[in-house]
Amino acid sequence: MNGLAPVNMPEGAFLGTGALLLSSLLWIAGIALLATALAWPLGIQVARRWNHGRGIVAACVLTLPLCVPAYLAFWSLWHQLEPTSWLGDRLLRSGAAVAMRETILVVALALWAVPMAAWCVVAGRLNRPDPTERLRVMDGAGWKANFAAAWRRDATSLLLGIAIASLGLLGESVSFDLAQVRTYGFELRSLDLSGAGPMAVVTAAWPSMLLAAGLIAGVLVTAKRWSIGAGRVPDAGDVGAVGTSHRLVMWVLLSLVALPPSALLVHRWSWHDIDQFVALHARPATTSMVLALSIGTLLAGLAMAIRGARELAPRPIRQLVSGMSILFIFLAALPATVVAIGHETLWNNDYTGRLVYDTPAVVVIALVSRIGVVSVLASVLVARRPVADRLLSMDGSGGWSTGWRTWRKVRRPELVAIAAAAGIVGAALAFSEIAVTSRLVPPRMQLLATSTLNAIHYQQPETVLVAASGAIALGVIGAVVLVVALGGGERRRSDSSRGLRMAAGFLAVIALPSGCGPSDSSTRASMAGPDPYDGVAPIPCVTTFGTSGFGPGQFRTPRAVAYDSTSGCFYVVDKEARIQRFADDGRPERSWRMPDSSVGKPVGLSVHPDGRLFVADTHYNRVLIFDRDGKELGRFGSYGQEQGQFIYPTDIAFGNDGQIYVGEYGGNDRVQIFSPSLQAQGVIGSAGIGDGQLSRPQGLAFDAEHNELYVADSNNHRIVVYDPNGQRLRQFGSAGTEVGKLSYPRGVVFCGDGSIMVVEFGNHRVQRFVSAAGPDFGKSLGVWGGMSMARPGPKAIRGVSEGEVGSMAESFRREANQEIDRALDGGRLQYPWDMAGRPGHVMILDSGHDRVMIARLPT
Amino acid sequence: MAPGKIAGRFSSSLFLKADFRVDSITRGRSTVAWLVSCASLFLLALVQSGCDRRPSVVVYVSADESVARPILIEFERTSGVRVDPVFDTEATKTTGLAQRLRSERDRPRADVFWSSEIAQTIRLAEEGVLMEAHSADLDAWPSQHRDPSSRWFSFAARARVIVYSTERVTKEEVPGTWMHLTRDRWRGRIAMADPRFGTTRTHMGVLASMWERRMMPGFFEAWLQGLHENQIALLTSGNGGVVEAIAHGQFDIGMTDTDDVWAGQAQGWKIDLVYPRHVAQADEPTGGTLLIPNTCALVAQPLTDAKRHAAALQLLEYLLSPAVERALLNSPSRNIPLGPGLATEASGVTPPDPLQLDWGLAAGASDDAAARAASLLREPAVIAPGRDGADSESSASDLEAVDPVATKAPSQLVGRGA
Repeated sequence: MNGLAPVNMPEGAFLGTGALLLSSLLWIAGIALLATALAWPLGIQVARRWNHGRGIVAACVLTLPLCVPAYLAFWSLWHQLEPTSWLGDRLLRSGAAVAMRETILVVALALWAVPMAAWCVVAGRLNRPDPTERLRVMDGAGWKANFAAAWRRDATSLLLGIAIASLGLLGESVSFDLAQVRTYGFELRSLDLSGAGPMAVVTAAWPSMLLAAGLIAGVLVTAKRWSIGAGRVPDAGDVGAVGTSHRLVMWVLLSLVALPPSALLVHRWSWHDIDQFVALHARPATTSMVLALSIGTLLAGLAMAIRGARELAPRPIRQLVSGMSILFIFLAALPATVVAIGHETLWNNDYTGRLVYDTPAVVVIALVSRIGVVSVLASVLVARRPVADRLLSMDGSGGWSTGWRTWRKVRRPELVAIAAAAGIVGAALAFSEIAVTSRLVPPRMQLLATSTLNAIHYQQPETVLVAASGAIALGVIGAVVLVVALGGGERRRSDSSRGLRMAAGFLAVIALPSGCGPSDSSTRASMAGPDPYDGVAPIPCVTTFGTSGFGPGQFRTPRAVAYDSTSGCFYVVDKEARIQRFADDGRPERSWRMPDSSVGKPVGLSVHPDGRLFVADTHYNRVLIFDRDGKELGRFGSYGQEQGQFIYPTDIAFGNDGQIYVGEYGGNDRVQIFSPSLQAQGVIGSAGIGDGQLSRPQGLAFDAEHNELYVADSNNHRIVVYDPNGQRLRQFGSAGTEVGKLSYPRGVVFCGDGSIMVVEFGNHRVQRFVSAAGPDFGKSLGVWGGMSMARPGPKAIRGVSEGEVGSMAESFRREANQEIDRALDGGRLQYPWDMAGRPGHVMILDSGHDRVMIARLPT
Repeated sequence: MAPGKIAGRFSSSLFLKADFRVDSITRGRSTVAWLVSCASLFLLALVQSGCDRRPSVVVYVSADESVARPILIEFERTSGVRVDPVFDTEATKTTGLAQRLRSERDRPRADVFWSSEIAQTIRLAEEGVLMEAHSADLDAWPSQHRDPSSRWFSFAARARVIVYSTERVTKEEVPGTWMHLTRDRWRGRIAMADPRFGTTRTHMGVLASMWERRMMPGFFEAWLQGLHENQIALLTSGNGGVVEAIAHGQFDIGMTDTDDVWAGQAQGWKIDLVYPRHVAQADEPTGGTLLIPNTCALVAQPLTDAKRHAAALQLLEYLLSPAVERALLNSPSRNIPLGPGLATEASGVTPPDPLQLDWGLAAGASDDAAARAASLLREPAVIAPGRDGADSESSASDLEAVDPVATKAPSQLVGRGA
């Protein structure tokens, strides 16, 4: 084709200026300073409690933020300010979105980096005790004296903390991208993606590489110079008294650190979200977990090997280890993209491609090379014991060939500490790493970090919440396994071996599903157990119709259905604000859209006895009236709490004398009574959970035969019966999943024999109850349905059984995708929104499957 | 033993109380345990490829993972072919995967490339990274939606739109053409994604190549200058970030794709979209809305494995089937089908007047256009003389007089004539 230029680095591909580099460094430095400032008092308190059990618990909590990737830490806090939330709405109106976003970025990253700095303070304190601390406490020294003493003691540790936190943040550009803060790292990535070669990227990245290498070298030199890692062992008597106020400070600070992960759990995700997450991401989640634990284990072993080689090995080996350490430092300083390209070039050839590049081994190798600096740092920073040094020298066991067993026994506590530090930090970094893995991940390997980041971009908070919760759970499990497996130093080695075998077995159990076995949800459904429906019978379904979509006869989460007994047609409104009219045989006849829908869609509609259609235009706080062809005939209501005003109207019912009943929630939580001329006449109920109160009256139905109004009090999980004037007559129901209980009842249908059918959104079923006044009122007569295991998505239009419902069988057959059709469970539901009655049948909105189910009235 | 005591013992061992007791258990056992643990972990990480013996195909996918993955799972189930997908991060993914394909061209891993846009695919085809694909079904695909040499096929498009805040802007105020983004009233109120990535990059190429021919040489640069003077913000978080920024009140209008708007609306954000035209009605009847299609293609292999080639062709045919286009239409991204037979079903999301253009020219111009846009729009804005906010009339009113349909979203056209 004409006009194509060869691939090169076009002008403007890289816009990294000195000013951008400086601003990026200022961001990182500022966040690292804040993190260290928060970490200082926290580290002091943890160090003081180290010989008590609480210290370890605090240390585990302190490590928790590292289990959540930094970009998730930012997103979890920023997500609390969604425009649809109260806080988010206030923020939007104040015009402070940019300032708030950047503030949250700083806070989230600082809280994420606190553990790195806090551990430096803890290590420094435990290895450089202050013998004058107890004297100051006894003398009642003022806060200035204490502060000065603490500063002198911790200055080096704080510098180390700032350096290590800065290192951690230096490679973190994803969070800044999400927060719309352009960084030097973003420009480096742009350069790579524009087709520039690795040398061009390295050339552009030299300032950040120099800084990273300098920071790491500074950490190592400072640690050695100030003898961190070689200090005296603190005895219990060295630890000062711990006061109540100090304990309070520690737990308050720990709460702050745990804030981002906890914020994720504020949102109550549904089991549906978990089901969907498992269907799509179970394999990537397992693979990511196995990969993280593998990397952690390898780094733990590497850290111990480096320490052992430095202390025991002959000179050539020590020089080799030093060279390897420098290599790890260099690789950590390189941009992640360059590291990835290097491995790509190294392993993608005919000799190593099949064994390495096409397998997960390339990811493992690349991550170890990228994160191996953690092992180097752990081997240096974690303490040595001078007492043990003396023992080894007295024993004459310094030789490599004969002394390593003795060395291992004597050094065992330090080795455990080194392994724990390197393993936990390495696993956490490996779990969240994206830049290297996204470039190298082989086709057979799917990782959760990429999926989670994409879910953030595509506004799928449900997926993100479940993924992040899983990461937190993984961190907690890992910490518990570690503590149990390692137990205590005085245990017999067999106990530790058993602990390690337990850990290995645990990992094998959780990792095995990642390698073999089916991955689609239909098979998963068949593996769910002998009877996933707990004996609940399927709904005696006659037919279903509808598929996901925007065309005639298709739906997007249908929300309400209403039947016109005069003409035999019925109406369905869905989440697209589209109302469709269907003939008695299910043939779509007409459709139209609500005049306004950008802020929300209707959740209820009802057919007046004269054929007019009343639609609860929920988010516009009004009721619209249409003729059967969609022509608007009128509207009433406006936002407010007075009579005649609405907040989120839900449904409409019509009384025998022409009264119109309109339900509301969102603060009003009541039913209003209107005259046939739309004059407000009265109010039933008020917001609350007590008798006479309502909480989201979602479904209204008027029993013309007995002149009673039935209200599905959805959030109170009960059905309330009133007389036409609003006098409460009786009620039944309470929350639960057992027979006789209710979970978010949404629609009521009269069976004509003194019983009613109730559709339950929360229990995915329909249930029949005695409705006539008497001793059996509210007694359950049966339950049908249960949650369908079928995966939501494009669905078939099911064929109709012959001879069931006459003309419907003939006129309602269409071509179906047989494979998709087989995945549906007949007679089961998924989040049914509403139900309507027609002679001898009920019409149930199986909203999770975007379909309408016609069923016989079950007996 | 109480957890506190366990923790206390752990702490004492971890940070060095003196421990002079020597354990007496066989010293080799723990070493073996460590080795077994490490080896089992490593092997478990490698066990991915060991258990499945079905024919397989590797596909690099830059479409939305949550939309693409169910489709690939369904293909796996119906065909018996194992699919190994590789996804990338959303913000840079098409560009990133294209770079991977280039760097792996001597020993490609992928068999199929499924891209969410077209410009990179065309470039890859011209560079020889993609190869011709022929079968009865593929040869029957509409010619306007495939490469003349059958090196790529386009399907399931998204539209390039202007998203706006329904709280701060009325539909009538929103520009009806892309050119009207340069009006003074929008100064400081517009956002777009970084033009070096994704569909924004593609759009820059379309604008540059098309306006060069249909308007006048230099029109694209003048438009960029106008955007620059309007202090348009370039966001690092992609098209989704543009929508989010508008929802949070940071901007009032922005350039994005339809699927990002749908995703935002699904979250309850108060946003909506218009389908801007690229040229005024009087000049060109086919200067309407840009549709950026998904594309699929076979990756060129130095040595052809017949089984994998057959499996790859099967996957291509499946991606171009009505079932997949319907699935993508019904997905949250509401892609517009390009294949035959789905026009009625897609009537609710298809813009009335799609832009017709030469994709080859647009793809060729995208690199340079994106770089020029990124370079200019990053500079501090300097308001040119004469641009003092004098033009404040409605941007849509002049188009309304020409064609009242042009400013209507497809949703408002449903029911017309029904």
